[in-house]
Amino acid sequence: MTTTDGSPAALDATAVADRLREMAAAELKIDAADIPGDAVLKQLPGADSVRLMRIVARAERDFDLEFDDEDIFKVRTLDELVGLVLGQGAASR
Amino acid sequence: MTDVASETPVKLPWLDEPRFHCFGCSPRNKVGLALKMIRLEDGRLASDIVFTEDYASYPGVVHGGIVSVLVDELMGDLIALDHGLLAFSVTLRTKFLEPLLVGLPYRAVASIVGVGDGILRTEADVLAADDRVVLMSSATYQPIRSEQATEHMGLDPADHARIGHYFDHQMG
Repeated sequence: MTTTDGSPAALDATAVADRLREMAAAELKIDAADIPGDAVLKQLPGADSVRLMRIVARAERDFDLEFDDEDIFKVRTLDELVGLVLGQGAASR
Repeated sequence: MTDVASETPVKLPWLDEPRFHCFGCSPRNKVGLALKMIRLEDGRLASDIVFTEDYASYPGVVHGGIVSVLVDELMGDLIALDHGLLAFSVTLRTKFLEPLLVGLPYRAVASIVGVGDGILRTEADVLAADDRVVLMSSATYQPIRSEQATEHMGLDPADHARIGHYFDHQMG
């Protein structure tokens, strides 16, 4: 993710949260509005470990990031996934 | 699965090279995968495969290293076909979302997502028959320079005359 001058773009927390919520909703086939930030992801309808890993893998691609496996398995909520993206995004700039 | 009418079989132009025994795509490699390529309407490259027990790890489960060969081969071939150059894998990052099972049909699909700074970035997914994504992979490739080809592959002048164009890319 870069700006027109080639420098990395800052990630906006709200936009990241919205994008991740869309990804989760699409994977779990539920309404994005039913995924509050503090929702425990594995307790959402249709969630299982494979689907959650798909969401994480799509997030890595979408934001052009690579998460450490240890960090991935610590994530419990959408807000924590947002934090992982923002933290990794800041570290890569 | 994708609409078959929008798919075109792809003949890999290097298969007739006499020294070519690629584990991924050469039909002459008797223990290899002999992958056949398909061009999809949207430009991505695909390959359909049913793994046999010869490629198992646990009973009935396809070995992860073999599945990595599948996506690595597909992404590398896509670069060769679309950019006319051969490249070495630099990084292959794969998320194994579900185990692949022996005897079931899978389709791998690859695309090039970026080119620059001397590398090419690619992605590949492996789909089950119901289009469920069971593996997601991303990779970077570095084009092979002519001197590297000579050193690593032992190409002689006659080889260079035939396939040197794959290394005259001015990249990397």
